[in-house]
Amino acid sequence: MNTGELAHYSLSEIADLICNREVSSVEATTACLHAIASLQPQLNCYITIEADEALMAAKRADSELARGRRRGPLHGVPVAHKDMFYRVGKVSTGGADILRHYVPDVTATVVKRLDEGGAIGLGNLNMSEFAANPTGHNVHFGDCHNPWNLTHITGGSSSGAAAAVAARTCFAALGSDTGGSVRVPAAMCGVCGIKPTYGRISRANIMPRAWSVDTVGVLARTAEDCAMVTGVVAGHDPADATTADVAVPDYRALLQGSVNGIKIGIPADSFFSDVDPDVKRALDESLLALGALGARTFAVPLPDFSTLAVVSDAITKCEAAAIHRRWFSTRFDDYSLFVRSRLEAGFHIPAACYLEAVANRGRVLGDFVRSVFGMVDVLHLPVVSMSVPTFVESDVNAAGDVPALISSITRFSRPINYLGLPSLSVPCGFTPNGLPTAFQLVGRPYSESLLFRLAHAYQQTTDWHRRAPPICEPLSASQQ
Amino acid sequence: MMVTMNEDEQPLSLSAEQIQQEAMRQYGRRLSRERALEIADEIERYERAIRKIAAAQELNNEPSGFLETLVRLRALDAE
Repeated sequence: MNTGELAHYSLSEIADLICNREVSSVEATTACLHAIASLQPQLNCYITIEADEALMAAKRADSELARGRRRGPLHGVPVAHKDMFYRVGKVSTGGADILRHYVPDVTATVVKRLDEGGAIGLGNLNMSEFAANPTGHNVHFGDCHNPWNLTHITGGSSSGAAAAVAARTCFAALGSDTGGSVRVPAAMCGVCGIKPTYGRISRANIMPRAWSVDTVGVLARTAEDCAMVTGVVAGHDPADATTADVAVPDYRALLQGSVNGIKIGIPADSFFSDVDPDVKRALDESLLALGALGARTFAVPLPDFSTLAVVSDAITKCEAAAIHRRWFSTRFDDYSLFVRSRLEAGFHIPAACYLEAVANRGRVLGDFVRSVFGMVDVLHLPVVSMSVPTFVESDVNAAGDVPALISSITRFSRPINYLGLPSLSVPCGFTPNGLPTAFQLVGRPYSESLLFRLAHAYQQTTDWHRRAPPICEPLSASQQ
Repeated sequence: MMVTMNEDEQPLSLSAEQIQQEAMRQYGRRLSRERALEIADEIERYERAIRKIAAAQELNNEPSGFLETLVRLRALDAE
């Protein structure tokens, strides 16, 4: 088996191969580093590549396994994270020129948990500046390109995370989701992305975007992979008071349950009025596949998503203004024009409005859970309404109503952040431009295991998640 | 205690001049009138949306209860 072939395995497959000592961590890590070296000039997924440290850690992982020690389910598996998860002594840029040389003196809880779970860190991934752009453009570190077509955006803000996983340069990546920043790039790059329940995963020692809605998430090629990584990083953290003391189930073990009879809620037709017909067709086909597995669909009335999206955006803007207040006075010109424009309104929203938006959140959540999840187990929704745009189409300096296009990218994802609910983006096909599209499964609080189980069952009967961008090294016949 | 508000009520709109003054005070920038008007429109959109969701606000001493609501309403098989 050559190194390129190894990189095509899913995280769960490579973890099992390493555990059984059929493949070494050094071999798996070398495969990823080979893919990074080959694709980085075209994709620009990584801001920092730590090849030597990764190989040293892989050797250590192999020798531990040889002595019978397995740290955890990710032992020896190469992963990466968005460049906003702090590691003591290592630069963490947040995709921003302002933080280009920032060296934290703390380590994120989730990074510690990956280390403790045995994962091998390959480096830090490209992202939108300050996690504040759903297209993934980055003027400071260069744009990250979509592996399916280099002229198209990856989506953001976890741009590098989605592209790196799709391009087989790592087996999973950590991202963050404030308005869709895990699910949108996952959908646009053809990988899975879980935004768990608010409070499920610690945000301690990561760069904040907006603390009331920031959620750490996982991007990987399959639902099973997302389940495994989520199981490692989730759980109560005394360093993050918003994490709940709710036990973390064995998500991987729970994948095997039946999905027969699961009730899937779908919105009324009017919800899809401006969804691209090709996206809608893929969504409908995914429902047929889920129906064939025994799931049943029901039309459910939903509250006005556009209102929830605007309210969520208002909270994000206010909190971001508080976070950026000092730099806005002293380093205004070091922001990109786009990010500056997005942040600016936050300085002018009346405090009473912000507090109303926050104060009503519990009630709105309660109403939503009772009215929707009183009828169905999960919701099936689009992630992004359109086919993946090109860089030119989504450039803020381009002609046309680009701001409207950009805000429409998150119209189906951002409301879920206000509600704090878990949501899993699952690839379900391609639009005629050859770029991926996806659906999201949304569940009641802390129902991640159900979302993983349903998506896993779907992926047992479909192969969208197995398709690799042509830019990757080809698969061998045995892997196809 | 339930407070009912009229969600069609006019928001507390900010004028372009107020936004220009605040920009200068908060982060030292002299905004053009055009940019200030853009921001004023954006603020009005936020206010309207928030007014809608706040229409059935309950007055009590629990400012949000959001985290508790998440845990209380969690899936029964979460643990």
